[in-house]
Amino acid sequence: MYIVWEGKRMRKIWAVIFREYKMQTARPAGWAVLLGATLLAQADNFPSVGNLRRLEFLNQPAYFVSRIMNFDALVLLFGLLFLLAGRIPLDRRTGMKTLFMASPLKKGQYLAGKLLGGFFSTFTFLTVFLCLNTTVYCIAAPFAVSLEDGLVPLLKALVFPGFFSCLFVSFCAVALPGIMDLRFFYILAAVLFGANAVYVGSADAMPFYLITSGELARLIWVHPKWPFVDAGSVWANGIFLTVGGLVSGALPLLARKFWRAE
Amino acid sequence: MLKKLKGEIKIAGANFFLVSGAFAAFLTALAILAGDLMDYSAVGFEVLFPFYTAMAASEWGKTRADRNFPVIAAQSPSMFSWVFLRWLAIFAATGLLAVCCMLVSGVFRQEGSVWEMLLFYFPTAFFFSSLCALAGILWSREHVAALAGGLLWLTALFTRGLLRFPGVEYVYPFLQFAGDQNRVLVWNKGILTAAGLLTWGGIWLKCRKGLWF
Amino acid sequence: MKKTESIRTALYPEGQAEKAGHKNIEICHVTKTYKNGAKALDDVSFDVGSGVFGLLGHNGAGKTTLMKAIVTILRPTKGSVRVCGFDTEKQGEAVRTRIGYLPQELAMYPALTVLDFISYMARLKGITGKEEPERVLEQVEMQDFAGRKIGQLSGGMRRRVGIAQALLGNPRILVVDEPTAGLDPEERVRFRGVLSRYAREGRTVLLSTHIVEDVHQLCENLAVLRRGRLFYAGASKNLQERVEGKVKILRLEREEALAEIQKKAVVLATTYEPHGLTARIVDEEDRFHQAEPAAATLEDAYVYCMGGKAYA
Repeated sequence: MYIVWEGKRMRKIWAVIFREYKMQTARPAGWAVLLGATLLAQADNFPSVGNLRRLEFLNQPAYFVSRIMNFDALVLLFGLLFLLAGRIPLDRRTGMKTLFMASPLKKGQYLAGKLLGGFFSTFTFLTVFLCLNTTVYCIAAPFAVSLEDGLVPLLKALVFPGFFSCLFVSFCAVALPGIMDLRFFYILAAVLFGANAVYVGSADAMPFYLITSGELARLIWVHPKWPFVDAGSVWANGIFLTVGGLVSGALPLLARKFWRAE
Repeated sequence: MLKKLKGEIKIAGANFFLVSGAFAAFLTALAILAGDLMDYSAVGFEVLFPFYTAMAASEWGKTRADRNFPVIAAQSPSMFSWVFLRWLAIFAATGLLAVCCMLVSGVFRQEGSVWEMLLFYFPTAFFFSSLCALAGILWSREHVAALAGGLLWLTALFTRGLLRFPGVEYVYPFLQFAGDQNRVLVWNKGILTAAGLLTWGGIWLKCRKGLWF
Repeated sequence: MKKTESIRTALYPEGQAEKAGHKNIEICHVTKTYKNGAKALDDVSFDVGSGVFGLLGHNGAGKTTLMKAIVTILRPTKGSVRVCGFDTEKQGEAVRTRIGYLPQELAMYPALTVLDFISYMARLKGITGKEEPERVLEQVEMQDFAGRKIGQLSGGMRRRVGIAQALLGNPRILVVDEPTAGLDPEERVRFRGVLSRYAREGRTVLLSTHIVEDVHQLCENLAVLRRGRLFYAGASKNLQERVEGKVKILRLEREEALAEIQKKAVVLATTYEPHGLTARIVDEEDRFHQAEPAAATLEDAYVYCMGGKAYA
């Protein structure tokens, strides 16, 4: 552990972030989930003759990226949510939290480190997932795909739904089990993810509560027949994910018993 | 037997009842508030409640991730009966709660009979929770069983589109929810039950092997 | 399965193991290599008869790995372990009914009362009725706390509950891993009493510990593991005899002199005093005539073995 007790505030937060990031990215289960989501994405969207015939727009890289973001990235984020959710309860069980509380680390620093560490690791997994799948698509496509055609939707996916989805998922997953029963959190998350999974897309504005397939995802690719993107819904989706994540992340700060009395 | 089940339920602790109660309250509220467009009995008892049962079986019915596992493994002549009883206690308790919810929802909603809901719930819950029990005996890391069950559940929800292929309807776990066009629900649930039993065969084999590290 | 079990029982009925020429525990060329290549045990062989048997060694010496192999929860890469004549790999069920096990860390269930937990463990062992749980609680002097929640117990009391669950069913073999670590002296003495009482009547208590004093007090025989290899197995007194007459106390005025001493003798311990320091040494070649002879202890022999010239 690399906590520097006498350093500046940011240095302490970075120490926690670094530890969290390292622990999350070193877990084989995280990579197994990534592999599973990748296999699922490729089984459904590999640019084979059959899939190209089945999916009308699969010859467009932006459509491919948007599709794996909508569906398969949700599976990835759901798996990562399970892994992240145990972080604070684990600290409690192993006595690490007591150690942290006995140190000069403040509640906000501990929480910020945990949240950001979780966010960075989730974003890393999502980035690897999107890059890997897009690369496979570009190489395997029976037609030429320019670098720009592949890169632009990839960056859009990472910036728009990607960043916000990771923020929402990681902040909720790290913070909420700190103040409620972990199993209860799993159920809440499953209801939300289940609703996301069964929602059938439409030409109308998408509901704001969709994590990876909301209106933000339409910024990657729009259906040529319905090219309209509802700006209000984009904002609503973005605000839900950001505010939802930040509020969830801040909730342990309000819980009196979460940290030592200060 | 009843004593043993009681013991397992005691180990699950108060949170099991609190969370289960909250979940049942949520489903009851959904039954009251959800409109007619929603196929409540399928959503509630084929999709949501089996997921809850699976989560409960993996989180409150921990086996290898139980911190007392080495002591129990070293001294209990039959590991299988321990794993089975632990699972059964949680499955029975959540099943009882599910039946209560079915009866309550029957009062508020006029769709489907309780028998149908039982058919939606029990085989699906048995299948998912048995898989979680298998994952629980295979991996000693906490929450991995819940992760495996959860991912399978979400992936199954996603892959409704696969029903276009012939034969998938026989094994798809949420057939009523996805639309049972060829009326094979009973077959489907029978196959899910058989798959659950097969999973228990796997657990039995693993327990018989008996060496864990 | 029942048929197989009845054949096994016919072959080795309870209590017949020793008559059939078996020691209570037979460890035969056991090697354990983990997936990462780390060798936790390397060709370890020794037998354990009745009485309290000590297992000594550094952290990471392989004590816990060996204990796990004995209690059937770890499969050796090579070699075999037999408990009461039963092979732990092939006849695990028969072994488990004859073993009581207390691991180093026993979490238990904090929401259960002491009696609930013991009764639960009894049922898992196939023991019914209230008498047995009550008997073992009495044995560890916990009968007055039977109704108390485990979460409310002190560390020492939890260890006592741990040993009580291991005693359920009067197992022929009791395997205890670091049972006295972290306990106060009073609890340690109490524990020793429970273990030595239990080891009578042909039963075996296998005690793994760092605390040499416990082994000295309890064990007639012991084994010493060092980096996964068996260093010594035999009578405690024989180990002690290795340093008998060689232990001396040397008073030094300057700390610098210690380095010189270390070149010629094995330093067991040093104590810093206001005017210099005292070194407890093993003087094998009788070089330090100015040093005062001291009575050798098992701890001296152990420290000498673990860091002595014999292993350099």
